[in-house]
Amino acid sequence: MAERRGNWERAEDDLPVYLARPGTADQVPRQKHGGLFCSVEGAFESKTIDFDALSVGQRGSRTPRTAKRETGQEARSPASDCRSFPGVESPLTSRPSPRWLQPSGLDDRLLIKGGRIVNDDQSFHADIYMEDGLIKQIGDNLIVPGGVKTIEANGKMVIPGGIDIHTHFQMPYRGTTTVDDFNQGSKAALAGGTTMIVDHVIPEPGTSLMEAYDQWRQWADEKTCCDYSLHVDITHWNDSVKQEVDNLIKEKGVNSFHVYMAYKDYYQMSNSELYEVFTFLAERGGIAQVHAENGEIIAEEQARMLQMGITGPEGHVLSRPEELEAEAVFRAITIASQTNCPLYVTRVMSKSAADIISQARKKGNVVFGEPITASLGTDGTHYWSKNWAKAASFVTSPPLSPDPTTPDYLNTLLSSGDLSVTGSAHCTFSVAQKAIGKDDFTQIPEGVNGVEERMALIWDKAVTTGKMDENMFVAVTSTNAAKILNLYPRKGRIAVGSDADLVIWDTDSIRTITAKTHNSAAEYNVFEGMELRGAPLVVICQGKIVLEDGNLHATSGVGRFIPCSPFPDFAYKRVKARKQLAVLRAVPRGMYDGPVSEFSMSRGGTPSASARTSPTKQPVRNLHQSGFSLAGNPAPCGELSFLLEQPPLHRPVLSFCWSALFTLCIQRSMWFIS
Amino acid sequence: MSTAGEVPAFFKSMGSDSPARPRQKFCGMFCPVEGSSDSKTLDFDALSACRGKSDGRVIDRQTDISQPRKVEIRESTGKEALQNLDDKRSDRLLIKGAKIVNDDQSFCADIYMEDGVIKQIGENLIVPGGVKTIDAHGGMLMPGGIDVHTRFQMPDRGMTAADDFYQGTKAALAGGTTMIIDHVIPEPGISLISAFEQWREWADSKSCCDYSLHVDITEWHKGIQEEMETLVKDHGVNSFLVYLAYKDIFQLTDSQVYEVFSVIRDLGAIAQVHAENGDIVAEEQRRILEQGITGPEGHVLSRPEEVEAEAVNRSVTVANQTNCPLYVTKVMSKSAADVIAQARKKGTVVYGEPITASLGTDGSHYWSKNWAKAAAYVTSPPLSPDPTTPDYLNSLLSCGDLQVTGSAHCPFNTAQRAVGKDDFSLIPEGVNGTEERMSIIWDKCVVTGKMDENQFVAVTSTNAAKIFNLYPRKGRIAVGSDADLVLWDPDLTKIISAKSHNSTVEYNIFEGTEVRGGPLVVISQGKIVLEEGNLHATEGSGRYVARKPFPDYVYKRIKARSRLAELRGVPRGLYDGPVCEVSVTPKTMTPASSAKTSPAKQPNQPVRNLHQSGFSLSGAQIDDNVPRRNTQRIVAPPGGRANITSLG
Repeated sequence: MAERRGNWERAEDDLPVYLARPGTADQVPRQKHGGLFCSVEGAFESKTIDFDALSVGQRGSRTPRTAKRETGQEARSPASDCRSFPGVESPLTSRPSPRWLQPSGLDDRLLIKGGRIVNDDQSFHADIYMEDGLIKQIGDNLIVPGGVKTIEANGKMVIPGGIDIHTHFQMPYRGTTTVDDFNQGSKAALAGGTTMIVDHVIPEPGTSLMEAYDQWRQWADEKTCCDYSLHVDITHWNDSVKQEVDNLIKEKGVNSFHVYMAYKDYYQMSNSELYEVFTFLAERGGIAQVHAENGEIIAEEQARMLQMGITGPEGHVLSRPEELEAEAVFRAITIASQTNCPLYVTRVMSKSAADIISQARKKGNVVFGEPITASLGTDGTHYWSKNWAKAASFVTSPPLSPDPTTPDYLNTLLSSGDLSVTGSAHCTFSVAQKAIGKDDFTQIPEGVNGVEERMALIWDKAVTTGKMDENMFVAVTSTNAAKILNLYPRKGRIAVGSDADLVIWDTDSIRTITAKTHNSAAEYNVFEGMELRGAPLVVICQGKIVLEDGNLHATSGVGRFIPCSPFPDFAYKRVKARKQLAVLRAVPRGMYDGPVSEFSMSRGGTPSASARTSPTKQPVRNLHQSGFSLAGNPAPCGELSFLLEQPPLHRPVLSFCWSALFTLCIQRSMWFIS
Repeated sequence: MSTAGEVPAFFKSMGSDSPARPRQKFCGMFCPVEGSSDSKTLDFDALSACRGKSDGRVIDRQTDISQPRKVEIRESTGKEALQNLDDKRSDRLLIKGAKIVNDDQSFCADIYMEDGVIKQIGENLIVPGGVKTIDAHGGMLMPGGIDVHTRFQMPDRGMTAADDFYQGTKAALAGGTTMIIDHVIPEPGISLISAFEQWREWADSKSCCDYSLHVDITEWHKGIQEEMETLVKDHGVNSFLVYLAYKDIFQLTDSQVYEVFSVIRDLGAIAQVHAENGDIVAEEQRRILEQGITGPEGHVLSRPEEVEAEAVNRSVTVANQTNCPLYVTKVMSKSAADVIAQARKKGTVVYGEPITASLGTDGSHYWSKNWAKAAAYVTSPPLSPDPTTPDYLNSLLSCGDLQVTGSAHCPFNTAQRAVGKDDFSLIPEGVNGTEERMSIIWDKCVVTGKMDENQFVAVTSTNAAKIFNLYPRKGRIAVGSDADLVLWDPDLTKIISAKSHNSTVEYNIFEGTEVRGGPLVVISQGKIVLEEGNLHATEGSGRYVARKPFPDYVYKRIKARSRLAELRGVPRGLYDGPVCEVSVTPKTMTPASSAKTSPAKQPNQPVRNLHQSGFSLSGAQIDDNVPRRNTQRIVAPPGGRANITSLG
């Protein structure tokens, strides 16, 4: 299949430019397949479009779908030709494979022999013994119970399982849900070597955060195949939300909250609200995540695009230029720095946004940037694809940058540590769902795939190119995320006592990404046709083998919710130290007793022309919030007048000197007395 | 004053001075500068709500500062000397032997001017007999300064800035500035035009030098847009200021700023911006007041420079989006200046205006124990407490990253400032600087070797004239230009002090600064207004200078870009595959928890202004309003399979 595709590509590339243009697809050279509106060839072969999933009442009608998919999976697995294990006869086991799947006490015991353990700080050779989902021993010549299942790693890398810090599985969208639910999504994650996901809870504005959280917990507990945790999005702000955030932090194990600077009139928060949210989170030890785009300008630009008659997916990227992303990142950093709150920028999609984060880090701000699989692996030229469905499948916000050098640049910053963690922002919609916006790009549901491809893509783009080493790879795919979420060292590290979430990584395997073989239910894969080196050979989740020989043995519902505690050291050590320093002090001065000019402070009503106010500021002050009250007696009409206090002496200046002299005299006399 | 340095330290900390701030040099608690009231009467009338009487105080304090050198002004005959009292005669003026300094080059020549216009430049000019002649002896003759940012006579809550147009322009002339551009601040709710006319009336009756006006946009609606058009077309205004600060008074939202900028670009004007994030400032002010900090130090603490830089960055972004030229007023901090410099490197059409105060002093004075002194420095954005800021800004000004200088001259008396004695957020804002501007820049930039005399002319005069479309009438010494000239003495030294300055306020924020360089002779509209330290300003002689839109200096690039910036959609066939049906949640109704939507696009496109675009939803969502009927339907494709569409 891959070969066939190869030929096909070549044939297309050989076409003269003028022929290549009008006919098939390509304005943009990077699209390699499919004609007008064609989905990827074969993408449907192993999948059934799930009509039930498109219905509104998702809950009940989803069950048959799951079953259907499972059979599809089985049928496909043997035929899968994309995985290869050159030169390794692993995994060697002591038992025939069917038995593993049976629940038995011994199943929880596992020994990996001869692996090279790669943590974010060092790599070393050792065996690992795990039991009950925990790593019990690390070292050579371990003493283990007899009859333990053994995996011979043959010197291959054993890395902590990946943590995908940003997913949107089973996300409701205007009555439908994303095609990948927690089962499908976490299965894809496991297939890619990710053993933990962190999903976003998105409460509808105006509704309770707690309810939404419970809803997500319920969905995820039923279906996830790997451990998970949750971020909660704050989509509106008031005192009751504040209370709920407090409860979520204290009782529900959520330590990261996401706010939006985009989606005007919907999720977007004003600067003042951001300030308050950040202040509150800084007090309670939460991480402030931010979707950074200037929603107001986007709204204006979208209106302009539509007016100009641009309705296709290219309008999406045209109305969201990367500057707007960079601007919002800058603003978020400013507010975070004012409130001394650790900031986490989700979905860093453009060079300029990444630059601002790295500059801020150089200035000492506590800010983390999260590029996603899509921004690291592909670019926004596809928005101009003539195939509407394909172009629409790339729609996400902030958009992929049309600058084709962006992925390389972001990989470099990721390698240098300026960007800290990677997510996938996996949020897939079927073509039919995307087609909601076929006549108006602002209606296209947003989101791309990437949970399965994340690890392999970073390995291919960053490690095989020599930008980062294997330790850094572990850091950006797993360890840093665990540290930010305060799960370290339970997750993100291979150490005694850590969870047995491991991946045996094959650095040589080469596979081609295509929608035909991926584990997502979407018809398109934004990385279609990409050849990636590096893949998981064996994935161990909760001490159980879930992937080997290219076969996935994921069990729905085994995923546990991992609570995150507040004040992660990784972010808060610095913040705490700064808090201690940041105490402001007033200057002690004597009372001012000179003349005071009369002024009028008019509030409300149209001010008369004579009562013009300056660009100075009085109404900024929220009188009922500060404990301060004006010294004069406030007139009831809201017009405060300050009368000139006529000093006893005629020349006011003299009175100044007088008071100064007076204080001086007193002080001197005191001095003499003492 | 000098004795303050000799008292033992423990004494200093007791009565008189602040221990922490070595830079304060004078006076005890709440004492104004010694002697500053000697030559001035505190004008009690001016403190009351009605505007103070503008007195005719004679300026006689310049005598101590400049001993005229190198200059001889001579009249041909005694007879004609008498005639010189006649206005007609004194319109003719010849300057001999001057080194003419423009922004591009310097050369030696004589200049003859008549009727307020430069008529001839060259050597051995043929001039009518009996002309008043100034012998410059090789002194530098430059175009008069243009102060692009003043706020004379500004109303503030029933008070008025201490310097009115007369006092202010006199101060400007004394410092070598021959044109000012003032800001019209219409109260929200008041028409721009009527405010503009009010300012015209004030200025026409009092101004001693030519002036022009910026108009501030303090609110935004359709009517304002029409008024802006009128102002540009009929009233010669080509610059509008918007505020990103002063929440709930002047502040505009990002969307409004976007719209204002779009309008400004279409009109060919310049978008000026007061860049500070008003939302954050408001929050910080509340926090700081809650902490019990009520003095002027709270002003700077609540307005950290990051907040300024953020707003600059934001306005640059909006200006880029709208392809509108941007002008950032009052660049006060390093980081804001850096943002501007970076944006310029990326090609944005943006100009930065540092002011006299930010170039000449810093914000450490906010911590002065003398409340009145600390309050005198209150302006927004505040002076940076970082003492290296002025030097940094001077460097950027010299290398061209910042282009023009203003003074933002808007001083208030101590009594007026004392309105905020218990709450820093009530202190009226504004510092002096129109008189000191040229000298400070000369001293900080030219004397130190950061810039040459030509660049000095550029930043004090020529660039301003170019940006605001006054060039070459102003900002250049050329035949046909206005006869606004300054004979500059680089060796003149003076100590700035409230005792001798021309402003009416008791404090001068540059108090005690010794500056080299100052005007020897100032010629405004072809008349000598300053010579031998004597100011002969005539109230009401200033003319309003109308400015045309689309200044070349600014708009050449903008025009080229707008031609290129056309966007095109991708021609595609119609998508006729299956379309998922959606439930559209009306915005007003509280959505049920089951109808959660994604962070993706909002269902009801509040972003889109439906009555602006001719677009309507094609999906025929008849059942939109029926909340329970959100059933899904797949429009089954004709082919039934993956190849969901065919080319229309």
